[in-house]
Amino acid sequence: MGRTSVSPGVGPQDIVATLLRAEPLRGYGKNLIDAAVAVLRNGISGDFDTLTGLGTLAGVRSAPLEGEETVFKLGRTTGLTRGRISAFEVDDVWVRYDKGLIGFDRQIEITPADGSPFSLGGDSGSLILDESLHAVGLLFAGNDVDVTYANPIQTVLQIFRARLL
Amino acid sequence: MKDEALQLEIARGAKEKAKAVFSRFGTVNGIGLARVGQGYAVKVNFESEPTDSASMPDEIEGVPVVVQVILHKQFAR
Repeated sequence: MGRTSVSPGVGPQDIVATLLRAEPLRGYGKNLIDAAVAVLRNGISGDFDTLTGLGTLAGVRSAPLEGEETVFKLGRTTGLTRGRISAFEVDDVWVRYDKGLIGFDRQIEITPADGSPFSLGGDSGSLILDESLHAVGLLFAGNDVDVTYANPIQTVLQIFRARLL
Repeated sequence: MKDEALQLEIARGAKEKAKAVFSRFGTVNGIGLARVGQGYAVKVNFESEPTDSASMPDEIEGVPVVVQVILHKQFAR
């Protein structure tokens, strides 16, 4: 707790936020999210509604996922990409971390729609948006080729008792 | 045509049964629900080519099964 965040910065001058809470990852059993909440430092502001190239964030999706829907994300590494939900409520997803394999249940699986990867390393934390620009997921894993995984955004918000601004 | 919510509940039940059935054919990494036409399917991801794939069921309790082999490892982003 209280760790500062500089990614992708290089030093203290790039610190924009302080870690408030991180959901611990369990090495046994299953996890539902890989996410954290940070508080912006004084003097740091941003436009949290504008999705460059897409429009304005419409809020959190309340309707259940259907599958085979088009989704978008804006990420640090790959920018704006388009994909489709190839599966939902995905259990037994095993992801490689520095400390080993970590399992997840109830995830969203996304495949690329445009021939290039939907995400690459550094895109974690991107919101996944449906065609009406409602948030559906939080990107956290992938294989750089044909699959990306996201935590359902409603699960993330419930665990942190948070809401999208 | 069954009600959508009922179809989804049936698919969820099939997914749970599919976990045990498909783990016999290889290492499953991801088993979820997918949209197929107007209905739902169980989607099973294998880490490598499954063994004896010819004898894998193509449906569980009437719910179709979609199998994908995802050869590339999944990393945290």
